[in-house]
Amino acid sequence: MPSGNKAAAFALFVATGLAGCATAPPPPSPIVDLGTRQCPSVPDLAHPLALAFDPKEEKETTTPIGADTPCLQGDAGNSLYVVYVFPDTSVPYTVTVASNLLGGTMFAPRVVLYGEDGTPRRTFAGQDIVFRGTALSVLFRVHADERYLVVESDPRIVGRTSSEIREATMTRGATAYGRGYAIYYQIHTGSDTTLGFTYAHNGSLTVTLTPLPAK
Amino acid sequence: MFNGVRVAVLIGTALLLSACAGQPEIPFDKSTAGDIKTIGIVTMSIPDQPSVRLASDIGQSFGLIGALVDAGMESSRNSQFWAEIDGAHNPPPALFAADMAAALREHGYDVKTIDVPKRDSGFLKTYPPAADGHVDAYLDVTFIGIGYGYMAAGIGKSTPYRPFAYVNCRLVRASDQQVLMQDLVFYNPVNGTSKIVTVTADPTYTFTDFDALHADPKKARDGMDDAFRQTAEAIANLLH
Repeated sequence: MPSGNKAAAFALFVATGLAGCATAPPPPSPIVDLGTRQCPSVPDLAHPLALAFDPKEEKETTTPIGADTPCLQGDAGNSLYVVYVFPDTSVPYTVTVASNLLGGTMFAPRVVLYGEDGTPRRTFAGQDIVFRGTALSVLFRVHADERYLVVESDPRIVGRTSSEIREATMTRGATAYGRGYAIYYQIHTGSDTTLGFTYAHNGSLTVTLTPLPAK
Repeated sequence: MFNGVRVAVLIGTALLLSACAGQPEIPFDKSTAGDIKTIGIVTMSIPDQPSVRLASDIGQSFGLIGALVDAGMESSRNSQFWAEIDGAHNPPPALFAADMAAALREHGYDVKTIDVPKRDSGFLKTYPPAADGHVDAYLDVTFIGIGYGYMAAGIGKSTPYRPFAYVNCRLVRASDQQVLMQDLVFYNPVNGTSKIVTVTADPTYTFTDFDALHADPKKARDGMDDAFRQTAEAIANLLH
């Protein structure tokens, strides 16, 4: 028994050490074709993900979307989709659905809000969805008759490529040494980067619920 | 003294940006906003002239003295650029106002211009009563800090000058002054965040350095005009 504990402790030690050395996984390649996958024509709203909500501060829920994500058959083709349920609250809040850029992969979002009875109420797509930072996002308020948030990939734009120019400034500290003294100073530099990407069925979604301040 | 004012403007811009960062983004919801057909664009808060700025450079490493040197150099660039684009005869504020009105009409709104004399920077504290303006809502557009012009993230050919325009905007219902939409829209932001609607720069208008900008003032002016048009369209897009 003691030797078993030692072995377990050793294994944990090795695992912890390996985890420390581990590098972030490479960004996913864009999935632009769902092949011959058989998909239902209506989303399954029975097992939604709960959205994190705090009436005092904004909360994020991030969901990866990959080849094993449920799929949906639509007029324009198949798509991958995620279902969330809005919180039960009387506190007014905004919802931001953001598709995060992962390397050269950008999930192409289309957002549909469903009622409790499973009928679609509103859709956000096309020009409703804009860049905020490096994320492609839509911002809205939930109506009383809207219960479920379905985010699906939009086959109309999947496969298209695009690019965004991003500028940034950085500041880093440096120290210059002389005889008997040292001077600390800051170096300011800038960067100008063109991010190329492909709209895809896969990627990463972050849904943020932000309580609105009381009037 | 003049340089001191420019430094104060730099500091003021930073403070204003941080203040805007805390404001809530309010999405426009057409179905609950009421019958908004006519929008009154109130006199905008917009600098008279563009700025040509380096977002980072060596001078920033040398405290106040460096900032004063930077401010002097920027002032010189601004004067030269203003003359070359013939800004006096084609005032940018009038151009942006026209772009804003056109973009709103494109989205199906009737547009009126509402004169607000002596307005400060930042949003108006109060808006005219509905009956005074004969509009359903007021669009309040206020440029942030130096507002617009050309910006390079740093020194060197890898960080070229590109046009920029930084705007804070809100739509206020005339009948009860309720804010129906509020957001930040930045064309080509430096250090853009997820709280800002960002419009990427058009690579057509890329100038490797100030000499390149100086060498082709027509293209430089076109780039600034394009930034205005796209910024106005991005604002109007938030109201569809």
